[in-house]
Amino acid sequence: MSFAKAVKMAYKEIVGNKMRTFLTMLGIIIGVSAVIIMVSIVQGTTSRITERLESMGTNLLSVRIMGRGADSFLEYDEVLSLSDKYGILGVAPVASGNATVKYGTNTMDITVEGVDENYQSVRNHTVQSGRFIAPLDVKYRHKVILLGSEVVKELFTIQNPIGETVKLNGSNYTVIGVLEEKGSSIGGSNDEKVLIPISTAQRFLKTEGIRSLFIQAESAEMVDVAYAELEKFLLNRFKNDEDAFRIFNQSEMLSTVNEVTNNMALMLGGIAAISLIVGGIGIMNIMLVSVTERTREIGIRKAIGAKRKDILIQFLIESATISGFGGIIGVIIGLAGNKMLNMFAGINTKSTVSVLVIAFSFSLIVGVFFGIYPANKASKLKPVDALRFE
Amino acid sequence: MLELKYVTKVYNSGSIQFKALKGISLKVDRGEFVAVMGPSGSGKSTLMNILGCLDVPTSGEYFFEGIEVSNFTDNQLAEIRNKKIGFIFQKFNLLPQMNTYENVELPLLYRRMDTAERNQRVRKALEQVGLIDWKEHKPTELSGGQQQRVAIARALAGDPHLILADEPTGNLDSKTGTEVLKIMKDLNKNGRTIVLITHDLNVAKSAKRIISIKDGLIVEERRN
Ligand SMILES: Nc1ncnc2c1ncn2[C@@H]1O[C@H](COP(=O)(O)OP(=O)(O)OP(=O)(O)O)[C@@H](O)[C@H]1O
Ligand SMILES: [Mg+2]
Repeated sequence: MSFAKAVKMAYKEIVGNKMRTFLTMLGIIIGVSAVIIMVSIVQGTTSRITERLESMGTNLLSVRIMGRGADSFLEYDEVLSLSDKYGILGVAPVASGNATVKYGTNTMDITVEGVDENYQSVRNHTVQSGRFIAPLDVKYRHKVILLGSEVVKELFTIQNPIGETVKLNGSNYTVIGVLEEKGSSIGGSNDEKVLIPISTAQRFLKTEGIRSLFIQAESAEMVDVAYAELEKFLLNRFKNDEDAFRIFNQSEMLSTVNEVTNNMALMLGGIAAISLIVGGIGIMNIMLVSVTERTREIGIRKAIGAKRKDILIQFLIESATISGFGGIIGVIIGLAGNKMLNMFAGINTKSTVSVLVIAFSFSLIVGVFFGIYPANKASKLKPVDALRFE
Repeated sequence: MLELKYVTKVYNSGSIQFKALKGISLKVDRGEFVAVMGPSGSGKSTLMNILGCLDVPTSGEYFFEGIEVSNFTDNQLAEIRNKKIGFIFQKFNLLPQMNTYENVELPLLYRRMDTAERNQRVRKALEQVGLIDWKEHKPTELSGGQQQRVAIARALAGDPHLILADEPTGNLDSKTGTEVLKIMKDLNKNGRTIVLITHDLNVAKSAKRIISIKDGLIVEERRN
């Protein structure tokens, strides 16, 4: 018998028993959609975290200087010289503090970061309008300011803020640009901050030297090299005191995040897969009932020439068709569930084709596997005994 | 064509052994029309199961077209049933979820015949029993006589050498029974070998040779 004919026959058998088939399928449907939704949630979360981390700049090392006794900071020139080191593409020193910004009668508490022109490329900050801080602004301690997108929203009801004057803790600054929106990250909102020249900031915040800086490696492969160079320099600078500074490696953080979320995806997917197996046992149960009910049919088929293999394949196709249909419906429900979670609960879901394919194939395999025992039982019936069955 | 030599069949149900056939020797030539008669429980169906390769003898030999088949595997027996034997049962034994056409087609599917030839054979068989206009009907939508004719068409479609009928008129009234018998006589005229099992002497009279069995043994044999 051709495969297409056999599938058609299985289909007929299955639709002839709609309610029973549906209930049998339910286990598979729930299993497949649960696997898809679980894994999609984890993958969605992972990609959101990764995106956030990468939006802060790629191949990034961030350094915090605690210092050693009175020697508690680096000089600006010292920091800039780091960019000549092997593997290091750019260096962006930062001086930060908190302040109140005011325009007209509107005020807002924000983070002030004093930066130089390198900050833009190292931290991957693009300017929505206007310009970034230039070397001359740093050199002459210009009182210019770039506003985060939230700050603009809060303070200005009108048009383009560029050229306007805002007050930062009482002194006047000219707005030269607006930053592109970035969303929030582990360190708080990236949009509720303002940038001013680092030299201006040191005076404004009454700080000396540099206590915080970001370093961009030339490439992902060079991150470790840059890290080593940096560590060597700092150990040398602070007389081998490892507690005088701390270096955060962004790619290390990324791989930790990935590792954790991958484990989570496996775990949640695995739990959901158990329900698929339970669904498979349901299929086996119904197929066994079906074999008993159809003993006479099997006898007739054998009498007119069906071989063991023909009967075996017939029942395997039936169970695979049930689980395959269930799998398809499960994929559809899983995708719909993802959409709904996204729309109504704001949960980020991301389903890759491979998850859909794996979940579906697994359902097919479950169907075939749990179909083997009943199908084998059917194929072994003796034609005389089966024909005598009432 | 068929030859049984000292065939016995013993059924083991639990600890009880029952000898349903106690040594049957029988020869059926090509083109014969043989009726097997006997009281209930005498072993007629058991004999037919062995002749039809649905079961194998406990001892003795069975030659089907000159080949000893009593040690054949399940698959080899299935192949003989599929290609060389057509069955007609008392209870029709059609598959209820399939229509007339599909029921007749089924043995040909197991033979892996291509669609065109299958179609031609099914139509020819249905025309022979006069049911070509009923090909879309399910068995439950047919009368007993019609169902038995579908079963005959199914037996014929494979163009078998041997047709085995176990009380084919047992569930039919005398008029439709006569119709079915007429079809079988015509088949025999066309050269097919037929073995018919029956209780009914009137039915047996259609055959050219009548064999009576009792308690698993042949007790009488005569020719019409
Ligand atoms: N599978 C079996 N297991 C045990 N005993 C069996 C089996 N099949 C048949 N028998 C017994 O063998 C004997 C012959 O049975 P068989 O079916 O051949 O009779 P029969 O002549 O066809 O009778 P009937 O006219 O009622 O159909 C009966 O006594 C029956 O009980
Ligand atoms: Mg009988």
